Amino acid sequence: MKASLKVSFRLFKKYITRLLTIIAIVIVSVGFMSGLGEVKNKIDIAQNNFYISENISDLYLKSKRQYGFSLNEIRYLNNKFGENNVLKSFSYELKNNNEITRVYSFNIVDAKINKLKLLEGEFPKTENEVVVERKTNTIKSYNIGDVININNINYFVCGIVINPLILIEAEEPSLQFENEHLSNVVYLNSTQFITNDVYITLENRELFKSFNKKYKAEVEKLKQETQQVIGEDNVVILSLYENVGLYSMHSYAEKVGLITIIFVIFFLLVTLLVVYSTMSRLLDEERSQIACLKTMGFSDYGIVNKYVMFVLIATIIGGLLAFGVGYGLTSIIYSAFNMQYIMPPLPKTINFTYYALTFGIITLSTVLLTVATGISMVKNKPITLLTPKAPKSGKKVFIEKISFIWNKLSFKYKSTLRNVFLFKSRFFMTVISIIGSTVLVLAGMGLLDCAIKLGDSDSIVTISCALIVFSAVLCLLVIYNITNINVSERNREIATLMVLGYTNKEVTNYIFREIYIMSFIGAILGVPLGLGFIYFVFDLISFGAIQDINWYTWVLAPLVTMFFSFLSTMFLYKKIVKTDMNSSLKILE
Amino acid sequence: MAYLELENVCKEYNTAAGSFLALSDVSFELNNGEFVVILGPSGAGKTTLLNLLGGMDTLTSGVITLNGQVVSNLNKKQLTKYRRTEIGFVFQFYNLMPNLTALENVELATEICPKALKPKKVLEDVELGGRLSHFPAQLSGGEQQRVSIARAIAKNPKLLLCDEPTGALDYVTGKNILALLYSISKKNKKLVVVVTHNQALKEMADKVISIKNGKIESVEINENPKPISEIEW
Repeated sequence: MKASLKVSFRLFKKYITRLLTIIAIVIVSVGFMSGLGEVKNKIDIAQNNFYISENISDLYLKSKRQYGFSLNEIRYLNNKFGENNVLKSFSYELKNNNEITRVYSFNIVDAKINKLKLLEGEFPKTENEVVVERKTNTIKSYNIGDVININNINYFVCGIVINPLILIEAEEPSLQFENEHLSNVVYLNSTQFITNDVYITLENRELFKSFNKKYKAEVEKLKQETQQVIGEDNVVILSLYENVGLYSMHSYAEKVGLITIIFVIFFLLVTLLVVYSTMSRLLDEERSQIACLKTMGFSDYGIVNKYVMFVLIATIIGGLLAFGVGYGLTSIIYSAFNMQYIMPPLPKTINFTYYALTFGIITLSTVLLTVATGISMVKNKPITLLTPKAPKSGKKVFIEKISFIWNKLSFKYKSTLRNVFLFKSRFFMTVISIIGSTVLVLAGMGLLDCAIKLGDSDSIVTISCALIVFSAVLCLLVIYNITNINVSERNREIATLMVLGYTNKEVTNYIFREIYIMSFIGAILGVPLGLGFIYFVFDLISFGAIQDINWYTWVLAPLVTMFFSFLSTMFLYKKIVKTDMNSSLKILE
Repeated sequence: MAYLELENVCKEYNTAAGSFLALSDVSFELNNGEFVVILGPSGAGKTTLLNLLGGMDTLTSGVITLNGQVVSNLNKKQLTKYRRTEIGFVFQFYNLMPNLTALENVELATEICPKALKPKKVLEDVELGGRLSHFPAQLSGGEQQRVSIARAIAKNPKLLLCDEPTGALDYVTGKNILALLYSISKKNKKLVVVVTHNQALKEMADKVISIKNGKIESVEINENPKPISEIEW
């Protein structure tokens, strides 16, 4: 084995807790970022597959004339797009007892465009058999064997189908009656005499690529050309951009992509803060060894190298483990999303783009950060490194100016408040992560409230639970890490307090009080930010309303994060209590 | 009965390499108001002895009594209370809280101690009345050690333990600190125990306990201790 690897492994053993912390934070952040990012990708792929497999039409021409399209118009379309790319159909809507039924009539069995997908039963064999659209949130549908009367003719329902143009589970708008939606869709198998609907597919099926820009330009161009020939008064031309199901699915995917960016920034920030604080503390503890290596003539880079290896290997282990987490998260969100649409199952193709991207970003930034932190310390002269690092001098903080408050505080709180504001990186790391956790917990609980109130969607319940769990883990990890570093940094202070006769409880409180104050600040700030975030999320996913959130959720969410921060400090109680009092007597290290 | 009594005190450590006797059969008696120096080379067992006297560790066998109270059979909780109220501790590296002012560092000790003296008064006694609101980093080494001493005596302890109190200080400052500790033993009538490897301190002590390889080598009583200002090293 190479000597440098051996040295790194020795470091792992010595700093196993810190190694595990870095691994854990990388698992959480890469897992969450890649898992969420991949959702957009998966939706795009699924939609594209669906577009190709069902041969979905790109343009839908609806004639405004009673007798539909003229033979000349049909001939024009056949010439322009190719006969195989044109599907002729006849449809109308009936209103009965305030319920709208749309009736389609075309050659169902032979149609190559917008193929109806059979869910149950079979396609019509005789003239008085029909298939009907499946049940959605607003479409009532029928059972096989039901009799439907349309224009005084009885039809038997022989099958239930999915129309690829009616993907959404929410309302499908009526084309005839403004601001109303369909209650039923019936498909008659017949060679129609009149054509008032024409569906057109583009020859090039590769152009679509989930509503990409080139596709949009092409569709717009064709729409205009056709419109000019046929005349605006006679025809309405719709593209997939006007299709509620497909396009809303696409914009949902875009929104998930946007949310992902926010999370990527947030998780990246927290991960870097964790790695930075862990490594700068670790380097401090290695000062005398580094000085020793320097006097022996090792180059700065050679010395920093082993710490970089430490971080690199931890990041790689974490990143590899994150794959499963990310994949699981993608599946959960995708299936939750699937409740809103009839979608093909999660595409099996494993796509590494987002995973590789987030893994790469995290690896690169943790390594660069460690190199920078390492070099800035190692470049000091050996003599500087051999003298113990002077503790950060105490400083007055702004609250001390308000003497009527400050003078009333006991020294315990004075010390705590000074520490809280003196160690800025620790302060920001704690507060940012607690804000983040509170915001996520709040969003999760808010969604849960709405899902329960609306008595619907297991889907949203899964997302909310995933959010709550991830943010709780994040909170636990960060607080554990900060407290752990804090405890080892202040080992001497702790030992001194013990020699002075402070009880276990008093000593641990002395350390934990800071964490609690920072958690409190973060949790409180998290509430208004959480409100903003919830507005954003509700708007994005068109689900939920602020007033559906229970009032106590606003109190409970910050309490949950504070509880988790309390929990993580409790894991360190033993470590503090076990501090060797003799370390207060030793020379400063 | 003497103020502080050690009777056949043994301390055995069990390590992976086997057990070893850090202190064996240590017995001596000290009186209140005495200035005592415990002398020995490194590894002799000084720190172990200090830990036992300061209630920071438990012994393997033997008895320690302070002012009539048996210390050697206290449990962990009782030992914490013992350290809290009966012991003042002066560290080699002062061990002040960097983010507390001089006054607050003294309050750190007095706040948990019922019979404590007034922190401000004690700091004035060690001539730091003008530095109350300074942080440790703004004080010199000697001043920091004075704060540490003030913190120890402000508890009004029964026993003042000092671990190499001049170890981190320059010659002159070190002498001043020793003079201060000596005067505390006399003026405040405190038992002051200084642990050191500096042979020169022998001459200023009322009693010198030499320790080597975990055993008491000698207990010498100085009828006429020399003032610190006359001692050179």
